[in-house]
Amino acid sequence: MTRKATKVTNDIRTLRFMNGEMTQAQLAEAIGVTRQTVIAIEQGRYSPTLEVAFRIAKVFDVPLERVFQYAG
Amino acid sequence: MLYIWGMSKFDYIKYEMGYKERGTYIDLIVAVGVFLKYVWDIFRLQLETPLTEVAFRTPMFYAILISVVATIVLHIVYSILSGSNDTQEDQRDRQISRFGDWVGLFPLSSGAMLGLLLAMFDQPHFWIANAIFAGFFVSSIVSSITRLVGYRRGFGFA
Repeated sequence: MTRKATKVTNDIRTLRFMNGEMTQAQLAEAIGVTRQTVIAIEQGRYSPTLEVAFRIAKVFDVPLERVFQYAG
Repeated sequence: MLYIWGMSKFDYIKYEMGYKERGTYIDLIVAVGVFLKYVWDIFRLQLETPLTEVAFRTPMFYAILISVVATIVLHIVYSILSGSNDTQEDQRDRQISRFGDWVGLFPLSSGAMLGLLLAMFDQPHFWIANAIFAGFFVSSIVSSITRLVGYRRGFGFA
């Protein structure tokens, strides 16, 4: 079980699946972070900076709110 | 949240450490190893001499020298062995590293403060030097452990 360290949830896993089953490594390369960081974001262990959040949304060509939600 | 069957085939199940996280273990192992070796040396010396009269300067000097040299050399070797594709550092690494350094400041400043107080009250050099020395190493150990917790569990912000 993964412990959530942040109240920000995300749909990155789903979006990757819907975008040709994009791998974590491919997404990491596209947004300029390590694959471990993509894993940490997906699992809710890390809140990315606003800039990285926008880069992720841009990769999937969706609005930011489609990628991240605040569960606070 | 939309759940789709068969997702696991494109997900990594097993946890894989990143370059910086593995490097943190080098810092931790060196700090713990050198510190324990120094404590062991002092323990052996004090069997024959009263503790405050132990010749601590040489073991302390070598402990500091070895920790600095070993950390640098091991990081260079690790970097070479990892190859150029695996040495990337990103914002999360930097945030975790900064937080680890910040947490490590507490034992460091505590050791310095204790050394200062001991000096003000004319205590033996042995205790003054060792308070500061312990501050350095405990700082390094606490900093490394904090970073590893950050990598494994996250802090929310990093």
